[in-house]
Amino acid sequence: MHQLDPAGLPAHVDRLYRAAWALCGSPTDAEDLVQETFARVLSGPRILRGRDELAYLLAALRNTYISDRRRASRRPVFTARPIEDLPLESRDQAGAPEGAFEASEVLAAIAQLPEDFRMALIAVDIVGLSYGEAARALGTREATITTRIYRARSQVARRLSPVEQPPGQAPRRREGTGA
Amino acid sequence: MKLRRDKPSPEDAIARLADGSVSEAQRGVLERLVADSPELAAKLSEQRRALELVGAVDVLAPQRLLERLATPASAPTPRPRRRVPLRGIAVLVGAIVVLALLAARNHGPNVSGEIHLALARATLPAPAASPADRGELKASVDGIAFPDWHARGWQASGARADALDGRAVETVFYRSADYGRLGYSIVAGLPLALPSGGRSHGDGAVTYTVFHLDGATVVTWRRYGHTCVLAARRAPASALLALAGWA
Repeated sequence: MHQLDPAGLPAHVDRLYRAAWALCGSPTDAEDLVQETFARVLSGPRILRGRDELAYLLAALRNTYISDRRRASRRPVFTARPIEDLPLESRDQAGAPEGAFEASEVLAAIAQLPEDFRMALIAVDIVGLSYGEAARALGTREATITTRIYRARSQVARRLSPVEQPPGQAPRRREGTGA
Repeated sequence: MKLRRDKPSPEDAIARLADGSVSEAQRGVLERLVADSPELAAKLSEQRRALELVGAVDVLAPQRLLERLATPASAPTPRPRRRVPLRGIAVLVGAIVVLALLAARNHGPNVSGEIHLALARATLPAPAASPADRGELKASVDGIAFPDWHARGWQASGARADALDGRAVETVFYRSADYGRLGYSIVAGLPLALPSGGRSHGDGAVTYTVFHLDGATVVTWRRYGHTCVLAARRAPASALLALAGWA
């Protein structure tokens, strides 16, 4: 058992921001969500019981998201508006392999998953928790997390698989989210 | 009443095989099952495809969010008015966050983008051996040459040149009969921040950090102040560490 150290939080901002974007499907909402999560976490001393900071922050992010959604009841889980002014600091896509997708497309595909699947994938594949840590952070069993991750990945891969085209035509993408 | 499964389903095992979270003993069994089943092989491929897509998401928090986080008073949820001592504590905590955010940002991008490049496909032919030095190839970053590991069983097989957050990243790919393919990337300029969670190994002069990402084994270290990354899907950490020691 130890107290959450505020000085350690900045190391997690980028991962939490990606998690928030994947959770709510919008970079703008993700900024608000991360900011509110930090405000809540920093509003008083936090005692961590056997969980690391990242798992604690993910749980806080999820709880903030759920309570915001309940309170507001105003927005769908995913907003499919074009995203043209993304604050991306991503690698140069010019040399990306064929079939590579923009980060925004991948995050949008994740945001469309059922919430349980989405949270499992975010916890393990985006935030980087182990299956056990993810299970504890999300209050479920490790086996359940594993099944959800399998299904979440399958759905993401299918949604983002390029559609085969006849020879001579450029391949197009199955998913048209904001691209 | 909910039924509890005692044994993981094949799909659950495939999910873990894809991201490398199975034991060595389980891995062998699963790989044999996959080799005998096109259906499982397709499922594994699908899992790996998703991992590759998600692992390539390298979005960073925008600067304006960092600035907002550094200002506790601008939190979107209004808080009850605090008495002066608590406000003082909040300001102090905010100041700590500001300093730490700035310190974190000064490190620039982390090494995850470079890892992606080290696992990507080659877009250029393999560099030739250097005529001047038998242990080097005719490819370098800021004067740091890529090694020629031909004598160690690793033949240069391709290369690629990329820009990562405005910096040049050169990658040379090598192939081995035993371990398949690996990518060796060197990024120009100041070293990148390392991801947390890796395991450190040292030989007295250099610290090597080993971690696993998206089913790949990764070793990263610094040569003359530059970040170097070795990443491979089949080669074990021991093989990569041995090569890094000869880089």
